[in-house]
Amino acid sequence: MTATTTWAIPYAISTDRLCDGDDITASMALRVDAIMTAFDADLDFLGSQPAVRLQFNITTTQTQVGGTNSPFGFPFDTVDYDTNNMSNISVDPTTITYRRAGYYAFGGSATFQIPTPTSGAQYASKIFSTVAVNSVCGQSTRDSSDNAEVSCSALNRVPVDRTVPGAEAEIDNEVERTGPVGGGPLTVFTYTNMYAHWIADL
Amino acid sequence: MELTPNERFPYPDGNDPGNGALDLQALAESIDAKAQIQLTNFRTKLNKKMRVARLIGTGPNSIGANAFGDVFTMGAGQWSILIDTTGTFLLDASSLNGFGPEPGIFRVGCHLSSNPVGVVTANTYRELRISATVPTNDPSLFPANTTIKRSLSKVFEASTGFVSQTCELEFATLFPAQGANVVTTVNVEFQHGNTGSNVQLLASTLLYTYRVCDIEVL
Repeated sequence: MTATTTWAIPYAISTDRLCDGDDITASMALRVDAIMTAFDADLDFLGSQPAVRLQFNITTTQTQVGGTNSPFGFPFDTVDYDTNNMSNISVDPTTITYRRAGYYAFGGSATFQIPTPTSGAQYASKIFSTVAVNSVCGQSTRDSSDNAEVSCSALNRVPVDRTVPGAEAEIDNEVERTGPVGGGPLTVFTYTNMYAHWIADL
Repeated sequence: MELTPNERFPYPDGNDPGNGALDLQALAESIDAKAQIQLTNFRTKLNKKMRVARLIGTGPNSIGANAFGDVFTMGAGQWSILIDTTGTFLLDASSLNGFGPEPGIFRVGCHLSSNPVGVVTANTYRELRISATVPTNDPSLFPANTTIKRSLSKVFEASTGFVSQTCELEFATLFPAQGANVVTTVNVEFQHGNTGSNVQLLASTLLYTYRVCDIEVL
């Protein structure tokens, strides 16, 4: 008996004894069974790839730490879904941690307001990652009596697996005041969200 | 005859009558059938359903100020399908019609360009809103409960009239669509504050939806 080069599938050769035929066929069946079962697992992963979404279920007022040009991470109150243990809002409600290395799509939308806006000032919401290749997407909007509403999305490359959800800032949706006024109360409105999902291996 | 533990491939045991050729044939046919199932499954998971439509001309001159309206309706008569792999040709690219009944994560997006048809009201807003109304229980039961997922984008006009903006929403639903019966509804809406004149959507405005992946844990 020998086996194929790549997948090690056993098969009979001319010097095998005829009476060993059943055993060789059994070996072949069991080996192909193992290969196809592993491929089934890969297919399952391809269909149910890591994905996570955080959001605000209620409108809430937070105390914005910092001031001019000081980013403030939205502390999300709800995990909408998380298929790979990528969040832990009781430890850190502001971040999503990419657990598996690969390429990711990420994004989100934020509706917020900082009262007593100063004419000419701007708010900026940035969704970014702190992995090796920093990927930032953001949208700024002017200061006014309206709520700021921003949406952005991008792709990112995550070079290594991460082990501790909520402890490493991999993706963070932050609001930043780029005008001249310091910190203060920040109202974050229902539906504000942040999400990510795996696209491909490196 | 024995069966392998996972895929149930047949193989001979010591008590079988010796017929090596027939044993191999039965095993080969079984592997062949399984390989075909895996290939179909692979193609289904790899080739995610998607739909993209764009405006090939200027939309109707009918978008008044300060009232949300449906973007698909605002571009009536000018939509053209760029891609539709759902098998259900549909100009309204934000609909989940054709995406099947399997629970999943979906992404809906809109890139929207707009311009007043007349007087430009300087420094006024253009607001793009994408909402998904997602059932939280079996929608065939009463009462049918839902929750809303939403993304927004508000941009302020800078005295030139023309504004371009983008908004995306990603969400999960256990009940996307059942044939033409769309259980999870998606609304892509737009409004503006240009009270000086109506606003039109411009060519190149895009609407798109694609299925990201399955969802098993909610």
